[in-house]
Amino acid sequence: MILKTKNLFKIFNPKSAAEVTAVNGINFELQQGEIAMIMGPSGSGKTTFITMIGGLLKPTSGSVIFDGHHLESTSQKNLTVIRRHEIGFIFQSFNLLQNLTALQNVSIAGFGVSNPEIKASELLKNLGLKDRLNTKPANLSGGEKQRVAIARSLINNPKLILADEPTANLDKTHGHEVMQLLCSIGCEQNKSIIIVSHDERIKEVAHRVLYIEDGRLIKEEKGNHNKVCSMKTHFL
Amino acid sequence: MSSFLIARQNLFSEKGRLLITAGGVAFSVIFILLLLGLYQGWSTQITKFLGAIDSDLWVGQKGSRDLSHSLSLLPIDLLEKVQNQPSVKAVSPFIGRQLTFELKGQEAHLYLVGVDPGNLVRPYKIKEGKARPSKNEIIIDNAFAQKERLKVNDTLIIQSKTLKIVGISEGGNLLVYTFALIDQADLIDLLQFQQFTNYFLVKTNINVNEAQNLLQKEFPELSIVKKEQFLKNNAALLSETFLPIIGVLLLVAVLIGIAVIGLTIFTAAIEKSREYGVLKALGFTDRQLFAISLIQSIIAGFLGLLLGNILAPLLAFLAQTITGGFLYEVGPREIILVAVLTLVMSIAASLLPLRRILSIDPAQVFKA
Repeated sequence: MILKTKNLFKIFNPKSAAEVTAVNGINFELQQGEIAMIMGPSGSGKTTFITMIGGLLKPTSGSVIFDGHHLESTSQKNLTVIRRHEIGFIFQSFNLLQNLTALQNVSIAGFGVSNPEIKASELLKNLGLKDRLNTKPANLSGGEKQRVAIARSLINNPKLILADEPTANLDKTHGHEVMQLLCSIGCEQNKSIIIVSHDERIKEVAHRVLYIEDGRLIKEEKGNHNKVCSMKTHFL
Repeated sequence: MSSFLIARQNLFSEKGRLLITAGGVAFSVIFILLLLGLYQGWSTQITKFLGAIDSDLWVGQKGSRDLSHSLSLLPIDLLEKVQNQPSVKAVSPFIGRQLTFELKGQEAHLYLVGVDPGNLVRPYKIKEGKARPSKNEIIIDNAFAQKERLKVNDTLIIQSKTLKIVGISEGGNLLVYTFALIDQADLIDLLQFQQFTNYFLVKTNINVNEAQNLLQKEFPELSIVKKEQFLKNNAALLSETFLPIIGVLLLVAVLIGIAVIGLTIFTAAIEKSREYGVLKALGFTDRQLFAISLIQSIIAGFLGLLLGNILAPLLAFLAQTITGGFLYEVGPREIILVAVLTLVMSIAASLLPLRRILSIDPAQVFKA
């Protein structure tokens, strides 16, 4: 098991009129190499949940145990180290640095890599961006941007990848490409991946689909991962 | 390395902003260089004229120490007594006074100095014409000549005495006035100074220190000052009068520099706060994020420094050509000082967005 949350709570503005319980006692486990999809309506607490898993937000109570680390009691300094080396992030709006090229966007995140430029270049080539290495985000398509973001999330060879709505800003074709990539990464590199999405298609790549509503885990069902993973794409 | 890359790319991707920042810093650098250059120029200039006077000792009235702060008046008949001292090789009276007169309908100022019969008083450098004025002649400084558009053979009327310009000298410009040389007899007439002199210029025939001691013992009521000390006393006018003003102006220039770089870096930090959040989420430390801001400030400061160092001498040359009295002198010491001040500006400016950067919440990057 790579990740476990125990009775996880996040309450914003506690003891005030504006109090909001975003995450309400979630218990969750994720195995090494498992792809979990989290679905739920807007404001259900999905993003807050993965923000806490990613060590970017402290829970109000409960615990997040990632690879043996209790994130809720880990110092900011150590959380930064964990994020650097163990967790990869993929964001809905790509969040690439606009003034950097695709290659630079990936290589700057290579904290523990001896030659980040070479590693970044390899990753981008394997993601079909061989001719776009020196292109800035403004000149990349949505799908290309998300592939750059995926390469960035992989450069430190993390144990866990957190993807927040990775297909939300993409058309059908590019969304499918990204799903295939995530599936390949999970299959070929035995990475644990949590994908937050509204996109029903992503169910196809997940081992498990979890439904969150009002901060609670209300339902869990199996995904079609094994079926989809038979269509392997070659990935590093 | 990543911080440097991001800083460089952010800075050079916004060329207009970079130009404004570098221009602002260059403005500060030019301002500082001109101030330091002027101060250094004055410091050198202030002793040029007096330094050219060939005396070992300046003998004045007790309490007098320079030409600006105190008036020295001595009876001329003291000359013989001083002359008769065994340590004294030659003595000449030094008579000089600042006079205001009308020139082309406006007030003009000259510090008239009489060229003594012993010829100890002489111009620092002659640019044009004679090096020694005869009766009814005057040698003026080039700065005065340029300012008043005067040339050799023109005439000046000072207190109803007509003096023909026979030479243009250099090294006698003290900004508030310039030195001019006339025949000592003419000056005595002008000032009605038959019974007095301001100083005695003494050439010694033994070691100067020894001669100073002997003369001081012999004439305890007089001030006997070595030439080097007299020059220092005169130069002190500058440090006492202008140094505090220059200090304030330097501070203003540095603050302008900090404000210019700081505002740019601060604005950039606000604009890029989402990117900073992304970097934090990816694992950049606060120190690395601060480094981005610091490197941006230092690069902008360096470019401004470079630009300022190129433009300041050009501006000084232009000012020198136009006014003739713009004493600009910049050496390695001033350049190093400006570089240090620019570094201080850059570091101080990079601190402005620090609080903002530290307060950026990396969790915000999950918001679409």
